[in-house]
Amino acid sequence: MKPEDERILKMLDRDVVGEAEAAGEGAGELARLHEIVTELRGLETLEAPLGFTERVMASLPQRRSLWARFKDFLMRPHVIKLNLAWEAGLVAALLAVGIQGYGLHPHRVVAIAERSFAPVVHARFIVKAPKAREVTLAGDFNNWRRDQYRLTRAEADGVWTVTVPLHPGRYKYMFVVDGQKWQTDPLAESYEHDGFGNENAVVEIPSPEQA
Amino acid sequence: MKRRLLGPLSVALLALAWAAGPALADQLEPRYPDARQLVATARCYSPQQKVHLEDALGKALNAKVSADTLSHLTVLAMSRGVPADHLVVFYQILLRVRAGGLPDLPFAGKMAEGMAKGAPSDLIIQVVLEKERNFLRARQLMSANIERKLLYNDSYYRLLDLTAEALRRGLPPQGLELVLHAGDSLDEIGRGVATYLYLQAIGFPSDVAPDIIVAALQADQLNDCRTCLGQVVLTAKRAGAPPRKVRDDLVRGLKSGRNLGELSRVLYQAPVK
Amino acid sequence: MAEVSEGVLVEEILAGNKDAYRILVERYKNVVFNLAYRMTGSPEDALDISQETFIRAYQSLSRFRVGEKFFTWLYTICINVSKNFLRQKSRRLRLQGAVYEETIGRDISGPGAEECLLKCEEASQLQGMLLEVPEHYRAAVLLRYKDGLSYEEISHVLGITVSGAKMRVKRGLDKLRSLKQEKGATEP
Repeated sequence: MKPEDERILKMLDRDVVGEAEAAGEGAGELARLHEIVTELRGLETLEAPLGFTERVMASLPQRRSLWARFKDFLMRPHVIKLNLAWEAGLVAALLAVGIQGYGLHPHRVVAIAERSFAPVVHARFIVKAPKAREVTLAGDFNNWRRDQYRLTRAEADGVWTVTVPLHPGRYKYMFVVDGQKWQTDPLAESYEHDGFGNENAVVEIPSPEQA
Repeated sequence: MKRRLLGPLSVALLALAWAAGPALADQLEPRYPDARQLVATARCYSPQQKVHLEDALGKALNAKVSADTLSHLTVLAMSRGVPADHLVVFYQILLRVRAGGLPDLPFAGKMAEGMAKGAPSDLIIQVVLEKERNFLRARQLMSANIERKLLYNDSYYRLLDLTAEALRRGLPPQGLELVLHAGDSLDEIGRGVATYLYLQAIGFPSDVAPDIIVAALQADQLNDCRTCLGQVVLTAKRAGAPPRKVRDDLVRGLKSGRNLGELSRVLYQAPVK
Repeated sequence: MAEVSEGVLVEEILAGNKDAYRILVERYKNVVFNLAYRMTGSPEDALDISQETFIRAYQSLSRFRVGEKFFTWLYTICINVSKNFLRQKSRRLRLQGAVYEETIGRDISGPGAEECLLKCEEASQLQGMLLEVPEHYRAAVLLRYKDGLSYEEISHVLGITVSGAKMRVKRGLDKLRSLKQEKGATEP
């Protein structure tokens, strides 16, 4: 290590920038380094999150019996080659891999199965808004996204419509005018307060067999 | 793992669902980037705030709150400037409801609704906490009246949501109990509760409505014509018929085997004196 | 004070008293977490790294020599885990990077966004610069000025000579200085 460097490090330790400035040579460099050292010393100290110790303690390896380790091996999901003779095993394996691999909770697996085979109804939403430049539909069926279902202006009389595929069920919605103004559908069959000062319209989409 | 063996059709269905699941999930909701990455790279949270956020996020994910739900929520919260400590509370509420066996989607949906509508985040928290209270009450009410099914499915959660909403709107628990007890299936009971809500919305007294709904459910009349009961009541209202008379007329009519469609065409065609 | 009681603690743990390890975790969790955070710039990664550090330390506790200070040994593990992590991460991010940028840009918009991005500006431009310093210099600089270790302690942690430790610190500082100069040149 070069002797000047040693000296600089010593000076940084003693916080004697003033002396160095008096010394003249390399003073600028020292001052800049000193600045950096001060900043480093001032770096925020974060607290480890709550429960850190518990999590570490819980993750510490233990001495486990051969049987316990074997059971672990069985319970962990594996990709299993399809063998159609083993029906129950196949279902269990699929569920396990499906759940582990895609993070699907069993409830969701069934829900997706149900939904994919449930009928879809094309529901038409209509609103009269002659002065609007843009109207969209937002509801709990699309997580209240304002930019997904755009209504189109049917004729010059200012009637806007959109058709949305929905599974039968009960939904709440509002119209959004010009990207900002949340409007309640005046023609809805019923309403509910959304808790935020607005009235949501409520619609019940019947399954196709119902009237 | 369920012990009973499933038939080949169920297997095929499940296999299809499993294979198609992720693709369908894509269609059902748009994909967002991973919530943890969003928080980690956000320039608007201090390092200490990120520690708390990531901690709460991690716990929510461990409790099986869906990653997509959390991603969507995080994107919304960040674009709305929701303060870090409020976002932590959002995550904590989702964690808590999930860990308590309640579905997380209605709560995440309410948060999304509030943010989309520009509500202040502390108000959103109030609203969602109230929702949690109503869900817990609804679950208690349902457990007293509905036989516990082996597999909790969508129908159960839909009914739970509906019953919680009914409680929020102030429908009396005794009335709700009558309805919860009356249907053959969860979906039917759900139609009963939805009708109860509708009747309240059109101003029909909530202490009188249950008798009608129960009679309709028992006569299997809420399936064919969903809107008939509502129509009769509306007609009766316009004709000036007092609610108890409407109840008596309808219950008698239903018990004698007449259907609602018929009743709606026949009753109260002239104003009631 | 620390060394004596820690020697006793380690003996306890090795004798089978797992709970005694909890005391060590509590004592050093913040220091380890912070080192991991400063090495990687990511609190999330820091969490994984610091947990891993304590788990590895527990597993190899028998290799800890009582003469040594416990925390220097712990630091060594932490820095090794951090370095491994960084090596693997750079490979992953290069693959994911492009797609991720796109989706972010699309959705973060709306009235709150600008405010959100402007406020809470990272006090650590310094942290950002630290991440541009080569890892072995970075570690030395942090140990010296953030954690206040002596050059001798640093030499133990990094497994190098004392003069080697001094050299790394100096080179790290020089790198930070030139980075600062660069940033000063491009920004008003």
